[in-house]
Amino acid sequence: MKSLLIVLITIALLQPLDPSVNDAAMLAQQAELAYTEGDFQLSVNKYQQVVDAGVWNAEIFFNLGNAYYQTHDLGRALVNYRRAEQLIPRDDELRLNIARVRAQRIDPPVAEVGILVQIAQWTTDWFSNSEIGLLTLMTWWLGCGFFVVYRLVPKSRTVSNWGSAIGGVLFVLFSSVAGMRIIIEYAHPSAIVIVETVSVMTGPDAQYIEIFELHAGGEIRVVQKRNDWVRIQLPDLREGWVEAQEIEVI
Amino acid sequence: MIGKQDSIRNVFRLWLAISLLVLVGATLTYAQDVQGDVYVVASVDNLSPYVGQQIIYSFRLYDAIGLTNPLYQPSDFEGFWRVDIGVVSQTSEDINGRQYTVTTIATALYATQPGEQSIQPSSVVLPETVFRSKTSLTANSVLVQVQSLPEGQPPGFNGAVGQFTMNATLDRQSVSVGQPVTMSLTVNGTGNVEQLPPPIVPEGWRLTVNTGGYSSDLQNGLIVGSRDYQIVLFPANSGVQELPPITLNYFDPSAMAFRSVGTSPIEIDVLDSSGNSVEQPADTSEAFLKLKPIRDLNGSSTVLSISAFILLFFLPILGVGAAIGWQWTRKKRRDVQDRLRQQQALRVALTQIKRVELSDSRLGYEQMSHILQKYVADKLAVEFDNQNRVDILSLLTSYEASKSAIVKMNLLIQVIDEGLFAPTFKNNSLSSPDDISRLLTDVDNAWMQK
Repeated sequence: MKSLLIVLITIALLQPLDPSVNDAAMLAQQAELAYTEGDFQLSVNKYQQVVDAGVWNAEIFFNLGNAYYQTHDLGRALVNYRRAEQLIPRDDELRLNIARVRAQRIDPPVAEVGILVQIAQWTTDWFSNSEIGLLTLMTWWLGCGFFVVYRLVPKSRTVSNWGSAIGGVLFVLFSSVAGMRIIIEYAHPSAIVIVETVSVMTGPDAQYIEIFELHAGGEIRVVQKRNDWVRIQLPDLREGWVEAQEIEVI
Repeated sequence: MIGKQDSIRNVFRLWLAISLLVLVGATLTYAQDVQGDVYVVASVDNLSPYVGQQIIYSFRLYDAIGLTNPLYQPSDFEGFWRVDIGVVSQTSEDINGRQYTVTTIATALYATQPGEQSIQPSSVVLPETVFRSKTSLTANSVLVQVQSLPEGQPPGFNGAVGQFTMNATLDRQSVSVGQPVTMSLTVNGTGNVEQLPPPIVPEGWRLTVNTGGYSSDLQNGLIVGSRDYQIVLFPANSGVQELPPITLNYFDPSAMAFRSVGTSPIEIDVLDSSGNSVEQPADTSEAFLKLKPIRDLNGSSTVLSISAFILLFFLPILGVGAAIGWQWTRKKRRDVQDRLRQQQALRVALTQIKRVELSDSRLGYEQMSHILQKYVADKLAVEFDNQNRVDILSLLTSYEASKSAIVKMNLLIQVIDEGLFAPTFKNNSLSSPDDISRLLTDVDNAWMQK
């Protein structure tokens, strides 16, 4: 009985913790094979299944973006590149591919309006959300650590004073950037146009007047949702309504 | 006699009635004047426009008293796209024999949906003056019946309503394969130009349409808008390529018909890379993008999860709290020890004094001096540091001991110093340990009396 229990425990320990990981790895291999054989649509389907299984992985997003790009779906390619960018913002290949899609889409690039949004955007190009979080934490620990030393070791007060001041300033800096990014992303989440052409209307219904058009790969922010329509805002602050299914939030 | 009195009474009543009538009449006239000094009226130039057709909403302020700084508060114009025009005229009118200055503020409106649309009232706020409190005058609302566009819309019609013209220029007539040609297109018109989608571009061409600037001008009371577009064309094949007309279909409300404006067909000479005008398909193949090797699907690509972040964020707060708590506990413990030390200072000193043999011994007085210094240190809960007389007295002063205690302490130090430095002086009446104990008790009591 005892030996049986040991065998069962050993078998249980040898099993992978999450059986879906094996499936995801297998799907990713199949997707890669399909891609190298030129069956890009199959590759898209397989990679998409991996993502739908809840895997949040930079390489998967990058490869899925590539597969979409090869099927000429610029919108969804950019969605996945931008998701990968959130995880590996300083990757040169990724930057190149994002620039390639942006150059090929119909809508011209528009500069962000607003200094806070520009700062948040600039930091996005260099730091992922978790890296900014980590930097915030490190400076927070630094500031708190020096504060504790300041309180407990009176002899080292000059050093700990400076240490806690520097830690505090850096913490305010990084936490402000993190806060700005969180507020902007939660209030106006980034989205990409995923259909060929979108008519941007004055109101949340097809009866309203079309103001302008956007095309696949157009980068927007979602300002408001109403039923099946979303109010979108362009970086230059132009606004209008589009059907929710025509865009995909990053 | 009675009849005469009655007639006098009647005359008085008549006078009273006439006076009252005059007074009421004057008040009524005054009220009419006040009501008629300033008033506002709103109207539109077309009560049944088509969807997207420009109408002009006019808000007129009639002012007979020369207002200063009235503040216009326009309606929200729900159901309309609006372009503010501003003050379009300021005229003088004679109304019922009274001179009014009439200020007209205009807004161009474009109905966004068909049906009955009510334009909510606009108003004007008259600021507070010495003679009048802050007042708001609200105009009438205006009901507009917006008509749907008629059937038979041409293919590619995108909601343009009004009268439009179009101009186009190319930046070059000859270009190499893959090189861009930019067409500058300008659409002018009385319609909703600002909202106008880009015109229909020919299919089969690789091109991008960039929406450029918008400007507007007031002509004959209507907004005439101008929108620029830059159409960047990328010819894929060499040879003479004809760019078909770029058209804009619109509905002309004055003619109640759909019309069309467009550019003429344009020929572009597309050269191959060597500069020859030869029919040759261009290489349109796209780059084959390399995949990234997937390192670990198990591991998360995020450096830090949210739960870990929250945990790690609050840990230092706990650390700081623990440090402050520990410091506070240590201080409390020290305070208790200090209090105990202060309370037992006299008892300890008296016990030690009893053990000291004074006689003529210099050593005895040294011990006494030491005991006294320790007593002061215990009493003040400070570090014992071989204080001399001046130190002790200044310590007592700085710790705000009572004057009586300081005087008695001075006396005690003097006695001990005499024993220490002048042991042969026999007139010292306070040289026994009991005397010193008594004197120290006096000091302590004086301390307590503080």
